[in-house]
Amino acid sequence: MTWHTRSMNLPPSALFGFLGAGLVAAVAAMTSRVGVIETDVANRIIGLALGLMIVLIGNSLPKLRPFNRTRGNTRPATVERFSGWLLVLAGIAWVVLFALAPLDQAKRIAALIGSGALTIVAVSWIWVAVRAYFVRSGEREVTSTVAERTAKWQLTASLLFAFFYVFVVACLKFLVSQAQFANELSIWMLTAFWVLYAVLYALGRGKGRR
Amino acid sequence: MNLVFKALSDPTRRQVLELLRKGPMSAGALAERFDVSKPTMSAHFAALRKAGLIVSERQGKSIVYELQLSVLEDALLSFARMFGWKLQDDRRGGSKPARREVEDQ
Repeated sequence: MTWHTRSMNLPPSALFGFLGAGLVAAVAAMTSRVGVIETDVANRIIGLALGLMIVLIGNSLPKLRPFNRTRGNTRPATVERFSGWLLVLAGIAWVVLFALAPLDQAKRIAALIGSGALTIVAVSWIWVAVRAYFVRSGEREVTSTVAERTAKWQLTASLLFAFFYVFVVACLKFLVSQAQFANELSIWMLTAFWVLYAVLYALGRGKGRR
Repeated sequence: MNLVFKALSDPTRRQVLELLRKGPMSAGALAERFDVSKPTMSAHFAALRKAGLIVSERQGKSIVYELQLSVLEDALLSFARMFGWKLQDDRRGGSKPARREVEDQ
């Protein structure tokens, strides 16, 4: 079984977009703490960077193909395309809000838009996963080698997990106005990130052995 | 991006992408839908593959193609279908139309 094209590679725009936007957001947060730039300016930069990240990842989502495609079953592809469009539109809304709207309103509305998009994406993905679990008979998987599939799945899952984690944390942080609670939330979310990442890694290893 | 625009500029290639929206198809099944020679069809597939718009997989003796469009490429394809399809066909004049179009007329 040979994949002729670059199906094994992550689109560079997705990877560098994620890393670049994350770096910009981190630098803005750090320089704001040191006092080089104002907190409001830092928040705007972080919002814009996250918006761009959402657009880039959303754009690449149908190419990343997070679901194992099955022959004759186009539903996962449709869901991937729909999720991609939804994220791109949400990302554009974030960019516009953080560029033009008053900061308080931008944070609140962006968080609501982000939460809505994330909920719809999560529900549609859970639906596809449940359907794939129960409706297996009669569908033959598009077969590539196990090593190829595992490597691709691990790369895609890691990137998407990190992205969705950042997206969820950003939405929560923008919704929470109390600084003390937001800081505590960050610590708990960071702990949860590593726990969930370890679970994901273990799942990936298990998938590779089968 | 240049490769993507080049790939989307041809109506036959756009029709291939539209057909693949419904699901993966073999090269033979796709070629049957068009009144063009097999080498020409292969060239179209190669252009689409090079642009990263489709992926191919060998299954036994046949090659199965599957769509792999980003959101931007999807939007470009939709724009091309809305605004470019007729213009491109008119400009080409005597080019061979797809069999499906002939049947529709």
